[in-house]
Amino acid sequence: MASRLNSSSLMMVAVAALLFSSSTIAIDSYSKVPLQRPNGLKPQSVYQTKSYTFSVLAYSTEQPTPLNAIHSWRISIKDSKGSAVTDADTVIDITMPEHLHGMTTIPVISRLEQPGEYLVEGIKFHMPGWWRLNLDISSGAKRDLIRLDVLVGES
Amino acid sequence: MKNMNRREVIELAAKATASLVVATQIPIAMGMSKSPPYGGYSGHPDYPYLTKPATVFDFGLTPDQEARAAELHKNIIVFDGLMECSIFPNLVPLLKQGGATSGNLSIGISGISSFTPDNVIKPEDWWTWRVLEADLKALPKVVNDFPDAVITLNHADILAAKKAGKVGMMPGTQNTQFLGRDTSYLKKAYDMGLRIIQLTYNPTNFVGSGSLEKVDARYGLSTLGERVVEEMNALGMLIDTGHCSPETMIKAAEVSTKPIAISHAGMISKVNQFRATSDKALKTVADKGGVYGVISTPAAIAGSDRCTVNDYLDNIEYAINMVGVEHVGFGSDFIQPATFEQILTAPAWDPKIAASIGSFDVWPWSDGHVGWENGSAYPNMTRGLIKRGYSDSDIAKIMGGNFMRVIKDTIG
Repeated sequence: MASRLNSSSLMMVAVAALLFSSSTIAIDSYSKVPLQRPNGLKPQSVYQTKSYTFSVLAYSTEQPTPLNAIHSWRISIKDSKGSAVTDADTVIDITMPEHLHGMTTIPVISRLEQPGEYLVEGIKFHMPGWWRLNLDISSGAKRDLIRLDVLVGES
Repeated sequence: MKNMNRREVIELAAKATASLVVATQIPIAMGMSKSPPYGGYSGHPDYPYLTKPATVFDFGLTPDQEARAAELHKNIIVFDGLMECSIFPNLVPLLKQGGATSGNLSIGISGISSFTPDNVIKPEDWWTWRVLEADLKALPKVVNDFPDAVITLNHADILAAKKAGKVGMMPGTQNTQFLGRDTSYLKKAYDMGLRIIQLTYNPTNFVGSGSLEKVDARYGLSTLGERVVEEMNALGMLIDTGHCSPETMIKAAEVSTKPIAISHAGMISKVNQFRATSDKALKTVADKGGVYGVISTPAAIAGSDRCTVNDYLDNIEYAINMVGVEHVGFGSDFIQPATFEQILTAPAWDPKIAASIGSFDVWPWSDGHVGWENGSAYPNMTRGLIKRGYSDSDIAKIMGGNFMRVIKDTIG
């Protein structure tokens, strides 16, 4: 499931959840498919990646990253010039690409006082293995998808 | 309260949601000078890119490269193998912003003149002659409502659209269901402006086997299908196999005396899902001079609900490496304002198929494609191809030149 810091989105999600028995919809034949695990994946205490638009640093507030327990992550977002992104509208979509499922919880992101710092609460990796944190980040007219590949419960 | 089955629950839910959807669209409707002839649209309530331009994706281009991209994009023909499947108020302004010259406008599905929450054509009626004929009759009036749009019926019309700075729309449809077993409907449709016909949608029909047909039952083309191909060749129509099974793509390419198109599909060897072409089918279509439009759906090109235009470019390059730059284009398959009713009643179309066709956590799917959210995104592909070192002439082929060649060879 995805979460966005946007009240109208949350309202529609809530309405949809009330109305429909399923959170997914189907119309055509474009299926998600299991993806291959990236080479060299290993557990890390801090995850860092950058594109031409944003650089992201993220880590679990509990180390090592806990398996099967609800916890939080801190995320730091900077723009291409290294300045803190203080107005990021971020959709977080956390999946297990090898298994085609997401989480059993719905993480919520909030802005912290420190510029460019965000807190994601409600993360629960309920299975050991490769998890992908998709961060769809928008700031003004800029938008990019940042992928963080996290290995949980495996060495 | 009576017990309702799943279909009734879904329809009730859809109607309830539709009323919310309509409420959210009132400001847009009020902003228009007059009521559109297509009766409005319900639209996705939370999709900003129905009105907002697509993301200008940052590829890290230098100022000189940006200038080259802007100049090149302004001068080339941009043709989308499957531009859009519905009409909404900002469709043409967004396409114009994206530098679209023309594209395959898919009609005969949901009724372009009745795209409202209360009057949605059920999936079981998609591509019937009744719906297709109504769309073909309505299309001139619909297009006239957009000052910057024009119907393009051939190669010369597309060049004229470029010269006039208009957005061309080439009428196409995604199934031969409308003809039943009577090929005389091809001429009727041609006379009314239809130029592109996809032989099958996902399910198998009288003409050929669709992409959702089980592998051991994919027969390619029927005898009727071969006649359809021959008659389309004679009429001057573009044979499209986007949703067909690879076996039907191969057979159609072999039977046709003119090049054919795969307007919008993924590649099985790149992302192994079934709405895709095989390497063999792709090579066969290319060997016959045809063109392949790489689809933009995140699941088809990245295997997930979210991707960026860089993933799209990876797929474009993958196809080029397989069949050469002369045979690759793009087919976005935008379905941006599709209603909840259409989506949620789709399972009633065929429950067994619906159960096997996957699901979307992101809708419309273009919401999950960063840098390809709507038709204003086309410059991103030109810019991304420059970043990857392609020449101006190769970029021109990919952005529309290859489709133009096939259109000239088939439609004229």
